[in-house]
Amino acid sequence: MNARILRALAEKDLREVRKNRIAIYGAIVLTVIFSIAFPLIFTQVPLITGTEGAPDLEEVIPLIPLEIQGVIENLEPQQIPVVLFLGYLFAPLFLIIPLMIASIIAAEAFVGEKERKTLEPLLYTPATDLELFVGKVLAALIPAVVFAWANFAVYTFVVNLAGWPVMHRIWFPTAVWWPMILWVAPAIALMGIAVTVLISSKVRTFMEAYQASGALVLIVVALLMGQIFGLIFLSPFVSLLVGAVLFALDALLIKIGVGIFSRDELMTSI
Amino acid sequence: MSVIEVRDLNRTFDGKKVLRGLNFSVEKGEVFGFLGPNGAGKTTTLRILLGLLRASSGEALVFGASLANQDRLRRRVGVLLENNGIYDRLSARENLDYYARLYAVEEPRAQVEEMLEFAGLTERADDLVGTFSAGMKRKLGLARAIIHDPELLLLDEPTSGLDPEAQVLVRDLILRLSGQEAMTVFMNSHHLAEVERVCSKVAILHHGSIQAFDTVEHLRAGSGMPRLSLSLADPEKTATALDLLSQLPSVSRTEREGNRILVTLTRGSPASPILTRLIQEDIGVEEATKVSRSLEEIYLGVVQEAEGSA
Repeated sequence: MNARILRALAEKDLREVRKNRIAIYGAIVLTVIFSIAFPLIFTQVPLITGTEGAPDLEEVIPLIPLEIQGVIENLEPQQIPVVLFLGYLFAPLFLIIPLMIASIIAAEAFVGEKERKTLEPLLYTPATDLELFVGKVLAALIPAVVFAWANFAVYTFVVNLAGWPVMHRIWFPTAVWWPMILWVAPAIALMGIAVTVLISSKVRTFMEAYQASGALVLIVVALLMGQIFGLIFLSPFVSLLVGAVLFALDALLIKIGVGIFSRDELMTSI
Repeated sequence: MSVIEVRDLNRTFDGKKVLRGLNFSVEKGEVFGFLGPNGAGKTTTLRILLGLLRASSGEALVFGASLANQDRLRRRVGVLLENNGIYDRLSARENLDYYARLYAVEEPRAQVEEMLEFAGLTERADDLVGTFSAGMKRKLGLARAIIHDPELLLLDEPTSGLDPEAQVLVRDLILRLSGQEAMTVFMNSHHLAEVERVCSKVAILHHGSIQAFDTVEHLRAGSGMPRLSLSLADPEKTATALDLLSQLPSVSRTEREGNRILVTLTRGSPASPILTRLIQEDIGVEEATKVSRSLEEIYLGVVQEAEGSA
């Protein structure tokens, strides 16, 4: 594979994404909601309402995994929702960021080109089918992961800063976040891309592709609910395992995707 | 070795034969016009040549190989289809830079600037292509197609949708490429005047089979019956001349065009006996010119003949 061609493909797709309002607004909304609003709400509400206003978690705590129960049992009442939600339960929810960004960019790269009739000239270039495929995958994967990591940095900063009056120390990130961000986030971003590639041969517009790949949010919701109801605890080991399973699925889906992303197949769908 | 070699090419879509045993070749330096009405199979042929569609049978070779199996061979080919395929959300410079890099052009920046100049878009280089007129986009598409200095340029309806001024510009660009750069050009078109001005050789495709394939000169010389345009010394005698000519066995048809008479001769008949006969009847001929058939007339004749035999 020619690195120069891969770079050209990836850079062009990124340039286009930067001019895509849905991608830009989506990125802003995700950052505001997940990295700023959530930490602010969960750190400021206990301060405003005081100890008496702290949420009654007595019914929730028995449901959550024992490992988390162990961590929060020695905390002050005001600190419990901060650590419980921001330190543990939100970790899988954060995966929505790489998933959505990867799906938007992939929909743009694989289906948007077809929709705007710019794909055909690309097929006349010396780039091989595999180079075209990998270039476009990288164009979606790299920014999605980098954006997720940048958001994690913002989240860490806001959680510690806004949570200082309650926690009185820098306590975040907790150990469960590292494998989630460094291992599971790239895996789920890749899954968003792989699924978009698979549906790209069946849909004609960017929006159709993006909406169809949105169904993957169910994976994130399942992890979140599983953790809230004590069915699963995303400990570092479990996260490594979840990431490995996702990567294995990614490999399978990408293998199918490579077959779909051939000049022959693309020409019949243009 | 021919630049393009098509042998017994057939293509069927859902049981319908779209191409029926095409045979033609394009030699280095030629500007080849592939003519035919809509649906004749021109774009299908082009896509098979590009390796983007498979032939049902037969071969379509470019530089002696099929582009379908030769990714690197595509480096030697430039393509502009009916749709420009230009990115509206990128500037003209960004569009060209992208393709320069995909084609691994050695000095991409310098080449991009040269192509912007070639297309007359230097002043709009950093404007988004979405703000360009159809003619500007077409010129940019052409610049993109040749940014890697290809040996063969494949064009599909290169002036389609352009105003007359832009058509002339694009046509001039093609002539410049074939003349100065010695580029081989293959162009699909149903714009006959354009083909006549630009192409040295043509093939006329109808219902998936080639009805005529030759140089424009040979087609003109060999097709239809010879015609003469006569200007009489005394225009008052035009009616008498028409009457006389219509009785001659070597004349198949006469038409009056203002003060001139257009005489269509029967195949193989020389012009001199007609002139002699007019002079014998004291009808002076001021000027007699042989009339060439336009490509349009040749094309219509070929298509009508094909329709008649179908």
